[in-house]
Amino acid sequence: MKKKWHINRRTFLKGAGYTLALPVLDIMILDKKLYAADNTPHLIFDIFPNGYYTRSNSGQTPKLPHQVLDPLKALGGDLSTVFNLKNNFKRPSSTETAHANGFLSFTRGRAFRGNNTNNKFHQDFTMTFDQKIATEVAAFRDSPMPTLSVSMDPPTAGSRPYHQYNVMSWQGPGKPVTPYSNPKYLFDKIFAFNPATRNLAGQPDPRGSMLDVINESIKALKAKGSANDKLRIEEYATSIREIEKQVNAVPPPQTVVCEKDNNLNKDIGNSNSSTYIQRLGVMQDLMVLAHQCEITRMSNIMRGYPSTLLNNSWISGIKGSSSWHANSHYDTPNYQNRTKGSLADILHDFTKILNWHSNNFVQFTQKLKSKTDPTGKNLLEKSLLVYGSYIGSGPWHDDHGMFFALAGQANGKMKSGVNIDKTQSINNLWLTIMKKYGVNVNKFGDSDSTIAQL
Amino acid sequence: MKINLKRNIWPYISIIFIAVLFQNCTPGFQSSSFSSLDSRSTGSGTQNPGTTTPPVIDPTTPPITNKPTEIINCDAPPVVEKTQISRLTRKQIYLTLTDIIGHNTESDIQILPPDYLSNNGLKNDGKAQVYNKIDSSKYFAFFEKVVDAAIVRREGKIFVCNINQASCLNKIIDDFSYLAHRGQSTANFITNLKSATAKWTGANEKLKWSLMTILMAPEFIYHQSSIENSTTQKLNDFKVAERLAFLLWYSAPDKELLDAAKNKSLQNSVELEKQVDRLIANNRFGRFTYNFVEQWLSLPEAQVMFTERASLSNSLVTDLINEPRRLFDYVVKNNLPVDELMTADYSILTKQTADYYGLNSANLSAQAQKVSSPGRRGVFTHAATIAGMTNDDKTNPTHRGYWFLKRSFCVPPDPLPASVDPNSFQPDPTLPIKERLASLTRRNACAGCHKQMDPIGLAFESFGIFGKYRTKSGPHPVDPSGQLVIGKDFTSTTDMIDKMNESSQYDFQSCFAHHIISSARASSLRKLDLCSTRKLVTTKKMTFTEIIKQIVKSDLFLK
Repeated sequence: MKKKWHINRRTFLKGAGYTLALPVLDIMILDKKLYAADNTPHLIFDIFPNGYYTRSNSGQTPKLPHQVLDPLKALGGDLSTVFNLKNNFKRPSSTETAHANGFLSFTRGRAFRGNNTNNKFHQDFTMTFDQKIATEVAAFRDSPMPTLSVSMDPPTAGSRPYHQYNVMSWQGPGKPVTPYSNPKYLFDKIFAFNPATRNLAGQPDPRGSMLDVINESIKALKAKGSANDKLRIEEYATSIREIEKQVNAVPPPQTVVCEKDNNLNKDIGNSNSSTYIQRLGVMQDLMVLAHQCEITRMSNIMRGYPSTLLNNSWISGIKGSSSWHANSHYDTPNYQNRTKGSLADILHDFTKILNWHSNNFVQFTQKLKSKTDPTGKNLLEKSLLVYGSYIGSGPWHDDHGMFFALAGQANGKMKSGVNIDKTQSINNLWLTIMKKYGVNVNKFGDSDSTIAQL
Repeated sequence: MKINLKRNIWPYISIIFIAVLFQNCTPGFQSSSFSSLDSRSTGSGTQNPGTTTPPVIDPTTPPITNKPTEIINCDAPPVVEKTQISRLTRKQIYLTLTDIIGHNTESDIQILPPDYLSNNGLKNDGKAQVYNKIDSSKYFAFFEKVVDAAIVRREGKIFVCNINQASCLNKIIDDFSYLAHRGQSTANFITNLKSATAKWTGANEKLKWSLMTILMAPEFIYHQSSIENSTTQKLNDFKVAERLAFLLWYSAPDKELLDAAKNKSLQNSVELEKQVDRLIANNRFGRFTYNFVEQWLSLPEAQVMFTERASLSNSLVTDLINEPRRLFDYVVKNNLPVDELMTADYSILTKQTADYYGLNSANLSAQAQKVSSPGRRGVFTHAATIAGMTNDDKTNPTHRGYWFLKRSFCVPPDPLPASVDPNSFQPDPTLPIKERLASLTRRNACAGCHKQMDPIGLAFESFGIFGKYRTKSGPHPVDPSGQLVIGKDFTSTTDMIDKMNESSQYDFQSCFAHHIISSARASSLRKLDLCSTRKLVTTKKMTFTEIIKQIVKSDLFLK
């Protein structure tokens, strides 16, 4: 009888695919804007480069990253914090690989073996954990943009394509989800598909008249066919009526859910001359819109790539004109020669930069919180935001003492207001998120458990 | 209890196959004769529990099948059977959309209703297709995804003008429906659609729902060749173009082919042949090689065997599965006779496939190349084909013989008579397989069919379930020699295939054409139609292109 099952199992699986797919289809058939029927949470990664100020020289126990932490307290009960995460796949080294191993192993659950000069480098760009969600979970996969990736750095720096430095959204070697760095392009992309820019009350439902046209065709065809063909076409007509039923059960939305904002278009201006602050603001507005209009459910923003040359002089109180990266080496003696100003000034500037971005992150979450859907839920409740950097301390590219802030309740799937301080693998956090978001996975990299408190 | 088998065939087929596989005294069933399986109880043996058991045939009664040497009787006048309306397969929908709306994601085709296989392995057979109430919702979901994505990326194939202008939208509707409906949109449909779009608001919305309407219409989803298909009436030109493109490209005809249909030039056989040459030379012909060979030789079954049972690496499985496709490609590209598919004593192997076969691979590169393959002949001795013949832990010569006869020469034996109780046959399992089956062929009632299948299956005993060469099966040595039902003796698998090719009763070329016609007509041909096919390909050693040209000019294609 064992053998019999082998065949039956395959037969069964064919049938199972058929039935199991139905709930998903029901959701897809329903209007995408009917939030009530839809509880898959959104997911946003907000990553900044170059680490934290967590220790002042090697050997010290990491201290809390207050420069990041303090502004975040404004989030109150929407915030969870996870301290003392470790990236066990980062290898200590003195060369290029030290950097590459740090940020490129961070979301992949595996070590980077190669470097820019050997051919293994390319193969190591395996799928990042966020893309497992984007490709395996239907609600993400079926969004018009499964992943929206944003980078504040230009696409290239010299001869090197900067997107290699994107720690999120890789589907595999040679398959990055290319980040948008020009807000103009992102604006065009998002509003190329704008599901609702007007008042729909009293408008004909296109789905209804579509079915009328099709039914006419079916009638004409049925008049011509043989008895067998008529039977087939009748079966088709029956299944078309099934859509009709669903369409009738779900009236089209009466009000505008998200609106094209032409002021935003003006704000974009010329991206070459606009400042970092302007660009970041517009990018965040566009991300909020894309989530609000359900054009995407997953986005990520890199506030700067590793070693970014972005200048920070627009932050008030900044003393020097060094780059974010240079400032992050606030206590590395051999780096001092390459940065201007005293170590104390550099540390001061670095703290300012981190402080500014944390404040900005809080503003970003407030934008999300201000957008409510017809059921009264706001976007922050429906989302999880992950905010942090891919290394611990800046100067040493630490693989330990890493910190992440989580904001939002992910539609009730994540608990907020939790503080976790336990030395554990960063992959435990990624595993927790993947599982909560519906990926069928029990281990990621060296994860040994999920984080139960979340 | 009568069951409408047309509606839901697959589960019954598997039940019957299980019975076939495990009860050795069963010759399988005839191609496309679903009507002969008019009761579930035939195969499953669950007829009327509690009443009398089915009569057991007395082993001494005379054979109930035809005379053994008469493999096919072509005396009856050939009849072209009317086909039935059929849906595009998932693959055809995916490829058509790739051609007319640009890139879409292949994995998304999982959303679409599944394809149902005919018992010839065809996926587009209208008779075997099952229709479900929810199917249109699945098309709807799939098309919405594809159309949304095309609009988001401003697909160049659609956005040929400024869609904010009504004239542009009308142009898109005309052009897109021409391709999607294969030139067969009715004037009424276009008028209705254009007046509906006028009522909608928003350029993107108008475009989206216009495209959706065109794709959801029956003119897109169905092959309608049957609508005008009778023994007297020829198909209209657009339907000929449609048959041609879905046969050779697994996709809708392109504008050039549709325009040729529009200008009536396909009625000219020279023009028709030119189009055949063009379609075969096009890159899209690779889809024929990929998909036709896959369905003909049941390659997905082999894939399951290799991955699930043999646990081979993905790259080796891919190479093994591609071996018959590579040989087919080689034969077509080099204009060799299609017989080569049966007789080739070489194959197109990669290094790891050669290793798998135990050939000397020291001088081979990793790329696929022509290598002589001793002990094997053509696609039916490729590991993938052999693995596809098996769906069990051990080889089943009867099943293999049946499968081979059906797919290679289109002469499968008749179906298991309803009156036979397979359970009456319980040979001693410790005997070698040849002796076990011999006790079966000694029974008159079984001999007629089993003498056709079993010797062939026993010759294939030289290959294990994963297609590797072997000399022992369990504790017993393999003896591949035997006698064909037409009276010829053979010593090995290759010798058997050679002897069958020499004989006039077994005709690979016409069977191959028979499979192609089935695929083109979206309808499994009956065994009887083999006679019509034989009359079509009378020249010996025809190439693939020559056969296709013969087919497309014949009534079997044009009616």
